[in-house]
Amino acid sequence: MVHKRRPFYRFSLAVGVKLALFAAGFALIHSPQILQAQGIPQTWTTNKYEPPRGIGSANRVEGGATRSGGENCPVAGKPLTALMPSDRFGTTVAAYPSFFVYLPASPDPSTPLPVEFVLEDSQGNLVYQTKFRTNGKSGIITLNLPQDVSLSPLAVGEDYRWMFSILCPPEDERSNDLVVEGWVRRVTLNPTLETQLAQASPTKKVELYAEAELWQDTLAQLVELRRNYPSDSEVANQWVNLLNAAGLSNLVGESLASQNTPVDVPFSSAQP
Amino acid sequence: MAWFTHSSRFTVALALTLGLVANVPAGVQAQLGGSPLSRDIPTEWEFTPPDSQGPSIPGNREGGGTRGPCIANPKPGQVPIALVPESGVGKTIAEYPTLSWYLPKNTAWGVELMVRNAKGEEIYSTKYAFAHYTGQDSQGDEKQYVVGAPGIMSLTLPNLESSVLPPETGQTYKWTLKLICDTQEPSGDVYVDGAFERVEPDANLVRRIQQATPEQRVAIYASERLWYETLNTLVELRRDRPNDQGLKAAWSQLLRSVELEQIVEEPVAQGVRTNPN
Repeated sequence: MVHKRRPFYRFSLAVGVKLALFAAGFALIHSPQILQAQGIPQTWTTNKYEPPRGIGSANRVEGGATRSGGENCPVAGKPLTALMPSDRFGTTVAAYPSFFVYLPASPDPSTPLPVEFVLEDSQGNLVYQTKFRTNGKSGIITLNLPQDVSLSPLAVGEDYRWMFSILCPPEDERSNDLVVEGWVRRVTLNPTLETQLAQASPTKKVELYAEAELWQDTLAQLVELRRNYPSDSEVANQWVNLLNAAGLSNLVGESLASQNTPVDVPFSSAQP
Repeated sequence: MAWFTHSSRFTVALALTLGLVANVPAGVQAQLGGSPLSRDIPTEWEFTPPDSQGPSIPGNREGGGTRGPCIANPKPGQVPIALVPESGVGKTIAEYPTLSWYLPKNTAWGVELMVRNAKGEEIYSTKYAFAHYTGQDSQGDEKQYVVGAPGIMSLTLPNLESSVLPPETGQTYKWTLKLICDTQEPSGDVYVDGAFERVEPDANLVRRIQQATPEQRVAIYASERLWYETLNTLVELRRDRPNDQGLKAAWSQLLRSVELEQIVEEPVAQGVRTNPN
């Protein structure tokens, strides 16, 4: 993966200006942090946390040049991709984190591809599984864990494996599936970070999560911002920077379809 | 147009949404309300016997046939229940409906939910492990009980942007909930099922709903016999204001209208959301 080196001064200037504007009232207290702010790194690496062993074989990208699903499972465009850093390991402070996948298009919209998302603990015990049919469109999709149904929360300090599969026909012949996977660990939310997050602007939150090497939370926050502010240039820059840092720059232009707004607003909040 | 004829309730409801009388005790709210919400809930939910020509009418609303070994309290009525009208089918205008079920106190591993279209094709399924807490049974033995049970759980079919095949209007979808006591012992599984029929809301209804407070929505939904919307709006209101007597009465009325009065006293408000910490 070749990373274009961007002049660091330009980046830190942008961060500095934003911060200065946001933290005007706290300038004296916060100025040391402005100097320290790293924001989104040029290359995403996990230094604070050691990835679990045995994830070396995990696929982040599937269905690429060498494997397009074959005749049984044609997909069009870019390969199925888990939005994970290159080491396929992400950390989160969330009990119910979200996961993100780039889904390639189905060449024939009349035959939507069934897909499956599975979350397991490190012993391979099922925690959550869902299966549904796509409408055949390509784009980055969010996989949320339901929050109001007594789902077992991720335990702090534990590693979990997640897999996303396109079930290729025949459906009972799972060896044909296109599969990507990643690992996630829930970590404790540092009280200092918690305080900073509570005071931070939405884009500053992205930087704080990134500095804390919390991949899942950085990505989740940024995806939400991209959906809500699709034309915001600062958010767009963060998006490019984050995907570049993770070696996912080929997905920068992919759609992040916004959540539909149902007419029955009152109970959409119960959505998983 | 219920709220025009109940202007006093409208005023109170409006004030509530503005947060002006947010701390008024529930009893006072009910008095001020004049016409209680429960009066807007029908005594019989279904006008006519269900249309039996549909291929996917469920017949197993309550998990009474099989007694799961993980149900804590083996007394009548303490079974999993799909919260649907007696016919098994409720109407909804939601593109991604919220399905609700009651679970008695239990020690199950988890559940599986499956949604099928009229052709019997599975369009959505999910299976997950419950959060548990350690408690003692009547013999004093330690058991791992499910968080939020007894209680009502609700799951909205996920709106995965455009990636889920949206349930089509005018179709009936059957949903089946399987309480999995032990993943190694499928014979102990308890099944319940229900169905939803997608209907298209007309523009007038959409406008009325958008302009209404949550309480008014309950009344509108009930008058339109939109079961899932009525139930879910009321469940959410009760979770927000568990001590509101007017809501309690409306809830009781709604369950009676579909012959589910045995769970009137069961909690909807507490313990349903898993503590994320």
